[in-house]
Amino acid sequence: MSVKRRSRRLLHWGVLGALILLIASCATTTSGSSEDGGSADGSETVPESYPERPVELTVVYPAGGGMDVTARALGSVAEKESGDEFRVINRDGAGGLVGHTYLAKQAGPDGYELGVVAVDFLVFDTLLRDSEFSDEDFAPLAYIAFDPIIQVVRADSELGDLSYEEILARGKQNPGDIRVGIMRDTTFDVFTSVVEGQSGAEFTKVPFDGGQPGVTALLGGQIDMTNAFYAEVEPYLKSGELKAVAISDTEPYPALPDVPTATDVGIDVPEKTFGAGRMIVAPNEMEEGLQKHLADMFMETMEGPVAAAEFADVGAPLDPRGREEAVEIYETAFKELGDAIEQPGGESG
Amino acid sequence: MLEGLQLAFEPASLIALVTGLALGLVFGAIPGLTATLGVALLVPITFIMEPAPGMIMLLGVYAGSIYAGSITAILLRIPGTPASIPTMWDGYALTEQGKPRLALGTAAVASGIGGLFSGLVLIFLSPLLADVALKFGPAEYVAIVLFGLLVVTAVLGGSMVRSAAGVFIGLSLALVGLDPLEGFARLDGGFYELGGGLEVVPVLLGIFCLTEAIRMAAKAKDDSPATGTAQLDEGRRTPTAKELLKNKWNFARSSLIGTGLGIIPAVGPETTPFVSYAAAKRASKEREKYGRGSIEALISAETSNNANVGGSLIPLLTLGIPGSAVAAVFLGALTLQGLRPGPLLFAEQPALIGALFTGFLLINALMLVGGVLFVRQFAIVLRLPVAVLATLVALFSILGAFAVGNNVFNIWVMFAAGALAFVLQVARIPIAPVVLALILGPLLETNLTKALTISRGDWAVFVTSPLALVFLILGALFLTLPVVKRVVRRSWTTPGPEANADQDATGRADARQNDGEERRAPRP
Repeated sequence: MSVKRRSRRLLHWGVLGALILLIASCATTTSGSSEDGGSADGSETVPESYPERPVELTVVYPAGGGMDVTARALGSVAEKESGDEFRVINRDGAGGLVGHTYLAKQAGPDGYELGVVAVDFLVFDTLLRDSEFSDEDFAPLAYIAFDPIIQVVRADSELGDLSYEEILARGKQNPGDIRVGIMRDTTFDVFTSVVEGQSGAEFTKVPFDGGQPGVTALLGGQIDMTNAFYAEVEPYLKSGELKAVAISDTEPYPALPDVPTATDVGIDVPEKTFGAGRMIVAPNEMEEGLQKHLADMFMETMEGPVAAAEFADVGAPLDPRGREEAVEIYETAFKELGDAIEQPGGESG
Repeated sequence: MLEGLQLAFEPASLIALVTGLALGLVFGAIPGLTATLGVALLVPITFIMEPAPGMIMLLGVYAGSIYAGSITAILLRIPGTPASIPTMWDGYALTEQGKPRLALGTAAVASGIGGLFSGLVLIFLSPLLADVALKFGPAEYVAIVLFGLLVVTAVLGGSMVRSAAGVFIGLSLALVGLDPLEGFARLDGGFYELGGGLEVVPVLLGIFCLTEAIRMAAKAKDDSPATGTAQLDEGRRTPTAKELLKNKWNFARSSLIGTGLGIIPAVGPETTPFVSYAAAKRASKEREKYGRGSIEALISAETSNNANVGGSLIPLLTLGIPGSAVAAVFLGALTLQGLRPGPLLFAEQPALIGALFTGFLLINALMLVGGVLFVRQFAIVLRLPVAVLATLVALFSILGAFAVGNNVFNIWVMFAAGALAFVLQVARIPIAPVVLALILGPLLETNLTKALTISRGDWAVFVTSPLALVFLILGALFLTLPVVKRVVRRSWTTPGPEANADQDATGRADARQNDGEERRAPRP
């Protein structure tokens, strides 16, 4: 008897517990279909009750990468500044395509599903890859920072003794001899193509799934040069194993003042375009009032006293810009990068 | 180092260690909640902790969940994490034979020993082995994947043809999604969610957990416990000293394989126990017992998957290269603490590194002792009525599938995988090669592409790299050795009746075991 009763009680608790878990996990993610009680049609005000539950910041890359670290720092600061709850969700896969498509097609406009994206990667997903969304699907809320591409070589390799011009000259004399790590159909790929097209150098482009795997292959001697973001190569630059040879921008990188920019070596690139322009985006159907509210909140957060320290702590750049500027940067990026693909050598393949 | 030792023994660190280990046990034991998810969920909590206790807690979750995945594998035939599939074969057979306590105790001892071994390697050989990890480029990965697939085909199943068919199916499934070279969609049936390929965890949940839930549900009418409860209080819970001594080479081999494969970035903990199991079987004198409750087999699988944990920390801490999905999340947690794993971490944070190393050894020691002491508490799950278990397993499978990328689509993937498992069973194709090929397929494809891009189309790259060549030769040996041996034996000895009978018996036992794995249904 007692065994039976005990087992029945166990059954009740077990099923109850599992149900609670199930409901809890669904509640936070099916917001796309759920209707928000406070928002009436056409109204431009933010419901007083907003937010009733944690706001999700979707990152389209795996946990631990540069984008993830940026989003987590942002979420943590925003939580402190606004008192609302923020949760970083990694929807990774297909080099970001899965997450970008989710944000464009499935994320609800009710203010609970936002994305922290790199505009360049978004652009190339729409222009070069088989994506089902366009630039129209996203509304930029605020701009976080620009992180340029850094091209690095092994310090003890042959290229380690050369200047960037000499490297390009070698690439021209011996086409295909220099193997360069890229991520296919991303800003890494197109920037490398632009360098090739303008300098006449020819590289063998080796595709990797991210910046970090390329750095690993470079360290292991399997390739000769690679594209990466600063956070990915910082320890190796400091330890002297790797050497930065070029920055994909018009201005020097603050942490690497002596490394030549693309402009310095005669490669013509638009300002703050090749790299990761990190911004917060919302689904385009989000109401104007809510968009403005969120944009202001994030701007206040990023300009607040806590943000600078927290971002610096995790090694993520921070150069916040408001909504209007963010929209402008977003639109310019689509235009400039679209043009870059048209350049000689710019078409990747 | 001394400072690190102190840091690891501070109350805060010890509490974090025990908490992490306990949470890891829960995550590992619940199918669908993987080690990766457990660590990922706890990362935000570590923000508000000091770096040392925070990271020790995550290590506890990591090690604990890899070990605990084996508890459900042994008791319920449900691998809590993909790394406990080989443990399931012999562990569950032991439970069926009425020895769940022995199986659990052996798993705890083997896990502890494997973990401690890898911990010592981590402490003393890290910088040296970091250079080895870097030697593994695309060509070497291609060789090691082929090696893994050959080993599984040759050793695990009975019929090599069926195993090869399994590998083929697994590799085909691995092709789903955008191709890594040009980004063309392949075999995705128009679902953008499949762009990134099939997620492994939902597939494994469908194959192992959902099917088991259905089997349990079918049985629930009897309202009997999942397995006999009478045995819970009987029998020994640890292998005897004699058994342990007999397995000393097994322990050594499995620890080395586990740590070694852990060091090689990108070969995750899932692959390790398969290779170790196959190596142990190849070396064993009692090959026919494998898959039917062999302590030796259980030791080889469990030792290696926990040795893998320490191994994977080597490239993680010294180079900042994550060797597995869990390690990647761990890397993120370190970064968020303002710590940059890489060449400078050891020089800049000696105390923290010391604390992490000490914590890792403590975790494994605690796992060994605690695992043996709490055998009875773990086995309590067998007292649950089948109906409850079936419901819980089904629910957690759905939850777990969803938790991968927070994506409802993965739940459908899981159901489809369950259907596939059924088809495979009918076709009598073993599951292990399918699963391993699915896990290793993307690694094979991307690295084949990269290796040939780097060599500019020259296939010789796979034999000019010494490491790649070694793995290819090893794989070929695994495949051909039994045949060669037979030929040699046949031509050098007079074919006496005994020799033949012996061979036939082994061959038949292998075939039977294969059938057993596919057909075996849990019976009270």
